[in-house]
Amino acid sequence: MITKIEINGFKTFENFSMAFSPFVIVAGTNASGKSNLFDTIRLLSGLAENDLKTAFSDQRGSFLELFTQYSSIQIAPSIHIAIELFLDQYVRDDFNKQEELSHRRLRYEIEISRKIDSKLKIERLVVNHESLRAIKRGGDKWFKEVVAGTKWESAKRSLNYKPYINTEVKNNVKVISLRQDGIRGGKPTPIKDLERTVLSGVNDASFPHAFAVRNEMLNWKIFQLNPIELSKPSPMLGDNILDIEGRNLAGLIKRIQTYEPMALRSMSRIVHRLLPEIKSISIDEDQVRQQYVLMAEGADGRKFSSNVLSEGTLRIIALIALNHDDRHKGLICFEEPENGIHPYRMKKILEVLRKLSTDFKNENEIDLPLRQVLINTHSPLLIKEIVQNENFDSSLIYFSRLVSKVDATKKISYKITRLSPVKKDNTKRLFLESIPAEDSVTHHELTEYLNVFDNVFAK
Amino acid sequence: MNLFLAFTGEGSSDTRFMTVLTERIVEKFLLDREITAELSWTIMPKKPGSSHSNILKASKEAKDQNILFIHRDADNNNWERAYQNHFETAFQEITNDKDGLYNQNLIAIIPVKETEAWMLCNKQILKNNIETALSNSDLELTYQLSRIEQVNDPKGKIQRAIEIHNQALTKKQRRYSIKIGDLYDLIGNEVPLSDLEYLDSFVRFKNRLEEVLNSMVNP
Repeated sequence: MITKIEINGFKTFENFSMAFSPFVIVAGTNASGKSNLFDTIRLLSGLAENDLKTAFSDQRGSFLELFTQYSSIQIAPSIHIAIELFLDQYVRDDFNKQEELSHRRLRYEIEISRKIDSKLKIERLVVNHESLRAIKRGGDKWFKEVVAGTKWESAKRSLNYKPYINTEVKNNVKVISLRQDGIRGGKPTPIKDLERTVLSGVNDASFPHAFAVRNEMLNWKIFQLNPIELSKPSPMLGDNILDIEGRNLAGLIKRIQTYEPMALRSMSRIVHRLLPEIKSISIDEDQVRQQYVLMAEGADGRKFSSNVLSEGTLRIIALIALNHDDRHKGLICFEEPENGIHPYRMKKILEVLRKLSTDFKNENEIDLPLRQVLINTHSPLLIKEIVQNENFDSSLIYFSRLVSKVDATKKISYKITRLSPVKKDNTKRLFLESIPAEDSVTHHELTEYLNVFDNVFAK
Repeated sequence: MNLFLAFTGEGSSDTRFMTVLTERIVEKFLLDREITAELSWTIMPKKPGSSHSNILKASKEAKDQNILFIHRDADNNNWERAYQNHFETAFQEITNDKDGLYNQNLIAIIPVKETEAWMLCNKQILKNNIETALSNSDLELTYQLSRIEQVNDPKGKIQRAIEIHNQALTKKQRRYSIKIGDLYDLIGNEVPLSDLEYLDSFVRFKNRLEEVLNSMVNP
C-alpha cells in the first residue's frame, strides 16, 4: 500500500509530495496533471519489472517528454521518485517460499538520468541512485495515525535499520548494494551505465523486503476497462485474472465460483442490488469453442450473454468480481469511473470501489491482503457523493491543478502540478492530520472551481 | 513565494483573455526582479446584483487570496466615469474596513471600450490567429494603434474581420472556420505587452498591478 509519493523532474511534477490513504480521489479539470500521477505509478511498476528503456517506452510520450520540460530547450536532468509503503506481513514467492517481514514500512527511492552514449551519440537512460530502507517508527506519522494499536501492527519487529538497497561510493566507484535481510552484505553492483533497477532483479523471497516491494509494485494496475474486452468470452485455458483492459472477466468469475461456490450467489446479490433489472449472473461453458461466457438473467427470467450488456453494467460486474477475487491485492487506479455510469448509480459504484480498499477500522479484514484504490475524476457529482458518504471518512480527496512556476534561476515560467487536500465541509478529520491546513481547500471551493472552469475554459 | 490570484469578470471570454494576459504581466514583473514564485488562479463566478454589491461579495470571498482582479468594460471611452460609476464607492468602503473582512489588494481592469479593444492592438497577431492571408484593408482593420480606444465597436470589428475571412473560404474550408470565442486566450497569450502600452486603460491597469506587486515584494 502506498502511503506517500514524492516526485521531481517527471512530467509536470516538481518537488511534488502527496500522502495516500487506502482510498484516494484526485479531482481536477482535464490537463491538470491527474493522469501524470497514474503515469508515475505505471513507470514505477514498469521499473520493478523491466529495464529502463522498456519501462519508459510503455509510457505516454517519448522518453525525453517524460522529463519535466521547462521550455523547448530546458529539460530536467533527472527524474527522482520516492515512495513510502505499508506492506503485507508475509511475502511468498513463486517457489512457495514464505517469509515474514520484520519491517512493513519501507521507503524506496530511484533516480534516473540521461547520459550520452559516446559511441552511438544517442541519449541513454541510466540509474543514478537507488535505495530501499525501513522507515523508523519514531517519526512515522502515518504508522501512528493509521496502524498503531490496530491488529495490523504486527508482532515481528526488528531494530536493524541497515538499508536493503543502498547506493554509495566505494573506492571512488559508485555502487549499489543489495543486502540479504540483516545477514550479510550483497555483492555491490557498479552503477556505471546501469540500465535497470537492482529491485527488478529480485526474483525470490531470499531478499524478503526487496522482493515484497517489487511484488507490491507489480500488483499496481491502471484499469482502462474496455466494454468490448469485458463482453468477450474467456478461453477455458486462458488466464483467469482480469487484465487492465477487462479481458478474462468470464474466466475470472468462473475461477471465483469454482473455488468458492457461495461467491457467485454473493456477486449476483450485489449485482441485483446495484442493477435491479438483473436478477443474477452465471457462467455458461461453451464446450464447442472451449470458452466461458458471462450470462445475465433479467428480472423477467430471460437470459442474455455479455455481448448485449451495456458498458456501465459490465464495468459494475467487473468491479464486483474483482472484489470477490482472493488473489486481488495491491493498488488499482481508475480514470474517471463516472464514465458510462448513470448519475443515479454513482453512489452505488462508489460503494463497490470503496470495498476494493482496505478498511483499517474493520478488523475482519486483517487476513485479507492490503488493497488500495486511486481514482481521478472531474465530476463535481462524484466528489459530492464522496464528501457526503461517511464510508469515505478516512479517504483523502485532492484537488489537482496546474500552476505557473516563475523560476528566476532558469529565467522562465512553466506549468507544474500542485495538489491541495480537500477539507470536508462537515469538519470530519482528515485521514492525515500532518497535512498543513493552509494548503487545503474546501469541498465547496473544489466544486465551484470544477463548475466554473468548465464554463470558462471548456469552450 | 506563492501568489494566489482571484478574478471575477463580466463573461467567460473576457476571463480567458484577462487571466492569461495578467499572468504574463505578473510573470514578467517577477522575472525582471529575479523572484521565484508559484501562481495559482481562482476564478469567481459573477453573482447577480449591482456592481457595488458584487465587488463587496467578491472581495469578502477572496479575502485569503493575494490579489483580486475585477473586470468590467468601460462601454464608452471614459475610464474615469466607469471607475466612478462602478468601482469607486465599493473600493472606498473596502479600504475603510478595519475589521479585515475584505481583500484589500483590489485591481480594477476597465478596458476602454471593451476587452476586444485590447485584442485589436496587434493586427498581425489577430490575423495569425484567424489564420487569414487577407490584408488589413481587406479585413477592414484600418485604425491607428494610438486610436484603438476610440474604435466604436471593437468586438464587432473582430467579428467583421472573421466574417470577411470566412466568406473567402472555399466550401470545404468552411468547416474549419473560426469563431471569436476561439481567440480570447490565444491572443491574450501572444499580444505584445509593448503594443498594449499604447492604450491608456491598459497602462492604468498595469501600473496598479505593479504597485500592488511592489508592495507585496517590498513590504
